[in-house]
Amino acid sequence: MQLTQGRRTISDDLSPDFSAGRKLGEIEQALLWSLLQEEPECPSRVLLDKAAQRQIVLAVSLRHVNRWRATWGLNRRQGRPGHADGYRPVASGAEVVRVTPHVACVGVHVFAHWLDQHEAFAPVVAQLTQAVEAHKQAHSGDDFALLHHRESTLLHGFQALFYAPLLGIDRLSEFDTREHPLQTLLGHGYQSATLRQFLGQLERVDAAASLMPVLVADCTGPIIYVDGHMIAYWSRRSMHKGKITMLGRIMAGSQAVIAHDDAGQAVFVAYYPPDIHMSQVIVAYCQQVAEAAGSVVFVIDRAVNAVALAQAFHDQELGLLCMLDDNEHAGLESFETTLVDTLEDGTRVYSGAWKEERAGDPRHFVIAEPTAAKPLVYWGTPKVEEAFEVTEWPRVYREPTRFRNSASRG
Amino acid sequence: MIDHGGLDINHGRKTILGPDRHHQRKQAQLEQSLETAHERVAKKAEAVTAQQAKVAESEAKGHGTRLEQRQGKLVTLEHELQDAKGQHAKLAAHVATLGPAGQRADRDFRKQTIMTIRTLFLENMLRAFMAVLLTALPITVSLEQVLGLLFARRGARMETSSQVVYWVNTAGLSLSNRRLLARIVEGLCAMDLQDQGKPIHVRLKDMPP
Repeated sequence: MQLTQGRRTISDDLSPDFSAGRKLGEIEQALLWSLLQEEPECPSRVLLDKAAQRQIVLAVSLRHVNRWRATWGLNRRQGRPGHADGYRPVASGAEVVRVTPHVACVGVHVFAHWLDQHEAFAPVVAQLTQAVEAHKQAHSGDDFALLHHRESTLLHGFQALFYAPLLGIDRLSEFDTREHPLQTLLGHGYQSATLRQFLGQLERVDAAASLMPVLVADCTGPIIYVDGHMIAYWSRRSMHKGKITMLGRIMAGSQAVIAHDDAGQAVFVAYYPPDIHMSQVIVAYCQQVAEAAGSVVFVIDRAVNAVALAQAFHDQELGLLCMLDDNEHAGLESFETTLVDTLEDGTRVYSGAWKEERAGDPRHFVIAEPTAAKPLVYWGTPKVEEAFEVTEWPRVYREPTRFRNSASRG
Repeated sequence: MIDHGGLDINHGRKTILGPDRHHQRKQAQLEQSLETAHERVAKKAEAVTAQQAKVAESEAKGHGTRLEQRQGKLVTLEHELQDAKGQHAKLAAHVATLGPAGQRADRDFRKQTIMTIRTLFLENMLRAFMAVLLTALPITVSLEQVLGLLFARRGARMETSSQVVYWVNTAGLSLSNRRLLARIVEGLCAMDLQDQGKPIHVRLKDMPP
């Protein structure tokens, strides 16, 4: 610690280096320091009261406070506080600017600094601004708040929504009822009504479609993994629409189809009604992803014998890697195979095609035969065969477990 | 961390227009039934023709009992043919009354896509942050550990003219978690974080609740 005997002057730019003492910790010292900067003539007793008002209890004697004041050169002369001009130098630019003794979710603040440092929100704001401009041009008669927002307003609104899950807020109404550190994080708080309106207006300008490129920008891998996520909607009211489940009950909801790369970075999302089978939409979906992300090889974690689907992918010049349903083969006997590799754990990897040739089946097969388990059969369209060595297929298929293990999107 | 996809703000108040899939399903079923009925009529007609040939053969050969039997079966087959034709006509009428496919305004229960994008963007950013943090750490830490030990904890903040210091409250942490948090904090300090040009330092601190 820099000990400075005597009083500081305005030109003195030494900033106190707070370190934990035996009686006063760093935060307490910093708080005392900042209070003294606000009012250098403040008596020590009043100083302790002020600290208590900020919910920091300094369990030290006045004498000890005075010792610190003397150390910093901020002690006052005895007697009543005077009002002599220029008696005490006010804090110069090198000292404590602000102390916030209670900060909730400290890590989120640090994370926010990291995001700001990397300008993570710049593309989001750019895309939102673009969407707003496009809406203005397309609907010149429209007039609602979002169309007049400044970039900083757009940024803060989006940030409030962005940080909400990390602050333990899972419903918009909790912005009103739950303590949250948006004030320290963004500089001001938000009410749920404001954010609800903001969201509604974002929907109105179709901001979701505009923000899709922000996700795609992070895509690094050549392979895209597709995962479906069925979301049920539960309500006490009777629902008339949705997937028909057991006993004729009707489940309303939606299914999200999410594409991500091999690093787990989500790149695309689309929603479909829950009663539409994935096979009906997946080719069109993958075409959209291929256009957006540029990757043409897709992995879908399903054990199926989808010859028609494979043909459809092949026709669109897309690659698809899947597993073959166990009921569709009888192990190695069903295939004309060649041993291509033996993995470290003893698993033998074979490559081949159907033993009896099947017309209109463009697929190639890779069979991984573990030493003590049933063989796993992978199939891929010719595009996959071009992109990866057959020995790579089992690894490529197993890769994206991180995404599946990540938090659910209810 | 809570389920961070949970901001459910669409309560099915909106509607989305789309093809009437109930109509599509009904039509597909009816068409399949119609095709089956058509096949059945053809089969029955074929059977009647074959039976008529047999009756004619019996008549030509002067059969007695066999002719009766064959005539009896012919009557049964003709009835069945009439029934099959009737069923076919009924299904055809159903198809005709079904009308052209329309549109249906479904209640929209989808989460707003913008919120899903937000969630995915947040996950992407967390993943990128973790990747940088892990390069600065000699140990492996999971995202869940960082969220629980660092993101969710309280602390304090001090800003001076030359630096920003964050203290993380370690009160109530077990010794092992405290050690882990200390490692994470070391990693954060090595990440060269800055706030408006001022270096950010993160420290641990035992604070009263």
